[in-house]
This record gives sequence, structure tokens and C-alpha cells, in this order.
Amino acid sequence: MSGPDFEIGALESLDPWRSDAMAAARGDRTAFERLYRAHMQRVLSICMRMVTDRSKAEELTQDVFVRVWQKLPTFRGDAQVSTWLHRVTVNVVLTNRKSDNAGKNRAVNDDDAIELTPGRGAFVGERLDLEAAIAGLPRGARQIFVLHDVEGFTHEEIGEQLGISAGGSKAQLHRARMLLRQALNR
Amino acid sequence: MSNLQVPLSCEQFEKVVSDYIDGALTASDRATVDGHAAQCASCLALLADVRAIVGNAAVLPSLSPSHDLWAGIARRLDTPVVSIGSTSADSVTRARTVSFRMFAAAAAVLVAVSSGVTYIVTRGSSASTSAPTAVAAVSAPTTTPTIVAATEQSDANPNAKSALTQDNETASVPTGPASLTTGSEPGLRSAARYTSRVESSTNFAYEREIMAMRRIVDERLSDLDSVTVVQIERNLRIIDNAINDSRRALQNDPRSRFLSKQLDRALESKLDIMRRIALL
Repeated sequence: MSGPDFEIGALESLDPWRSDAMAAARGDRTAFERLYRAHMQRVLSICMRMVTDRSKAEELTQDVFVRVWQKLPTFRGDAQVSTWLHRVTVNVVLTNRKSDNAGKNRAVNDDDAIELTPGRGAFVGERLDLEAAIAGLPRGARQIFVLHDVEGFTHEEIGEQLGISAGGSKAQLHRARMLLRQALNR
Repeated sequence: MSNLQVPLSCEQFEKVVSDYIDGALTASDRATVDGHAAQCASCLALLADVRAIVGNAAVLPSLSPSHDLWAGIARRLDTPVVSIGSTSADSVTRARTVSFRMFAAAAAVLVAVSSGVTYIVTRGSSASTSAPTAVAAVSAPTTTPTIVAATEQSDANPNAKSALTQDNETASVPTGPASLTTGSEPGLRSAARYTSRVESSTNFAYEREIMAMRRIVDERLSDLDSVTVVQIERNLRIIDNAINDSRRALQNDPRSRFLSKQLDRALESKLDIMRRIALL
């Protein structure tokens, strides 16, 4: 049985969360909690920056991990656990966006969202300012900026997830960067 | 091959600055952009600002929740789910996969069976109302020990309610001199009260479970597309109608074992569907 053992060992060295993911898929709650503790902050950060509302982001974070628990048995290990988990996160956030669009009032209008950004003077390097400026972006531009510049997804991946072309994603990203510069230099 | 016009205008510079930073320009276009930036202070500042934004975005720190979210997640994982006999990934996947056609079929079968049984039982009981009442009244004193036994059983066995109703019906056979007593109305009321109490405590347990599940289901429904939600709500309504039918029939014939089982089955079906929705 050295062959499979070696293979599993090699895979685990590539992805330290693989064995916990496999155990959680078999119902191991402790292994799943370890996955949660390791990835919770990143998942929350994605949710928070994409929806901008803390309580909603925390709610979505819980939804993400419940969804991950349900979907773990279908996880085949083609991608790293963390990559897969972040994709699930984005899907949960985007699905929530669709349901928000279907039935709820939108608290922030896309066109005037940037006006909510506090004007703090020109200091581009300030992280807090950048967080606030990202939160003030129109939703479409914000989500693409977060996915590309913060989370490192490619335009092709973003296009696939959002149902838009890679070119559309590039255009929105450029718009987001220009709006951020404008907001940060006010 | 260069796509940019030379000399580059500031307007064109702004349009391509993102592509420049992302490395999406050809070498000759990059040289054109570099050349313009070297001569234009405002475009150089634009390039520096966008670079800083992109650089800072990539190293934004992770955020922390206001409280530990695990408890809420664990509670939702604790939601009773369809039993998973095997731990293989395939069987788990199958168990967690839900078919709305199956919901519809289950709901339709439930309604048909519920209506049929309700009709048969209520017709039978109305045709012979006096006889069973008299027998029950006469035999009531002898039912008391049976009820006590069933009470003890019910603490340990969740299925004890149906055992109790069965015992009550078995006890309706006269068993001795005491059964000839005609003044047994208090005993009958006591038995009926007990049955009613067990019934309502069972119903309460179901209602409590359904209420807890309802909250989770509502959360899940907000994630599903509107066509699916409409179908789910329609199936839940069908089952609710079956539950209401069974409850109405039980009000007319509270001691009916068939109706009681029917109500249990309808409530259980509703819970089963809600559990499946929670897993969608």
C-alpha cells in the first residue's frame, strides 16, 4: 500500500488542508472546525468587502461554511481547498446578490455609491481610506476590484463567476481604479 | 505590434494605465506609455496612484468577525438531516440531492392517502357513533392502568403515543364486572384528557421543530431562484392542507388511531421536506 500512501502524502504536502477536507467530507466535525478556524477570516474579508455591511457579511460567512459542509462530499481535490473555498464564497455572495435584486430594496444606488466615500484628503497609501473607498464603489466595480486586485482572481475566472466577458471585467476594474483614485484624492 | 498612437495623449494614457500595470500591453506599447509618463507629471502621478492602489489592495489585511461565528454554523450543521447510512462520498451526495418532482409526488400521495383515510374513518365513526361510545364509557375504568403503563413507556419511546391509542382501543373490550358500571363518564373524560394531552405534547414537539426549521428554510429560500421557491412553497402548502384536514378530522374523532397516525405522518413529511430544503 506504499503507492497510495505516498500519493496522499504528496498531495497533503501540496495542500495542507486536504486531509481535513476529506475527513470533514466524511462527517468529522472537528476537522471541519479546523478548516473554519483557518479560513474564516479570509472568507469574512471577501464577504465584507463585497457586500460592505458587517452583519450581512457575517451572515454570509456562516452561509458559506454551511454550504461548504454540504458540498464537501463533492469536492474532488482538483483545486486547493482554500481556492475551492474562496470560489464557494464568491458564489454564495453572488447568489445573495441575485436574491437581493429579485426581492429586496437596494440600499445603495450604483450610480451614487461613490458619493458615500468620506473625503479624507489625498493619501493613497492609507489602508483605512482604501477600505472606505472600496466600500463606496458602485457594486459592480467594487466586486470586480475585490475579486481581481484583493483576491487575485483572473478576469476569465471573474467573467465566469459573474456571467460577463473578460473584457467587461477589465473595463469595470479600470473604472473601479479610477474611481478609487478620485475618492482617495478628494 | 503597437496599437497605441504616438505621441500618446493624456486621455489615451488614462485609458491604458490599468493594462500597463497589469502587464497586458505589448513591449512597444509599454515603451510608448513610459515615454509619455517621463514627460508628463500629471500622468506620472496617475500611474503612481494606481500602482499604489493596486499594491495596497493586494496586501489588505484579513478582517475579523465581531463575534465567534462557529456556534451559529455548528447549530446549522446540527439540523437533523436525512440519515446517511454509508459514509461514502457518492451515497452522501445522493442523500443530499433533492428532487422537487419527488416533493410534488410525495405531497400528492400524502394528500390522497390522507383524504381517503379521513373519509373512511369519519364515515365509519359517524355510522356507528353510539356503539363505540357506549363501550368506551363502560370500559373506561379499566383503561386507567393501561394509560399509566403507556405513560411510562412514552418517556422512553417516542412511538409510545401510537402504542397508547392502540391500548385504549384494545381496552374497549369489557373485561370484568367493573366494566358493567354505567357511571364511568369521569373516567372517559380523564382518558380523553390524557389522550388530548399526549396529542398536544406531540404536536407541540412537532410545531417547535417546524418553527426552528422554518427559520433555516427561510434563510435557504432567500438563496434560491424564484421558480424553485414558488414550487417549494406550493408543496409546503399542500402538506399544510393535509395537516389541517387531519387536525379537523381529529377534532371530530379525537380517539382515532388512524387519524392520529395520519397527522403524525403529515407533520413528519413536512419536517422531512424542510430538512431537505435546509440542505439545498
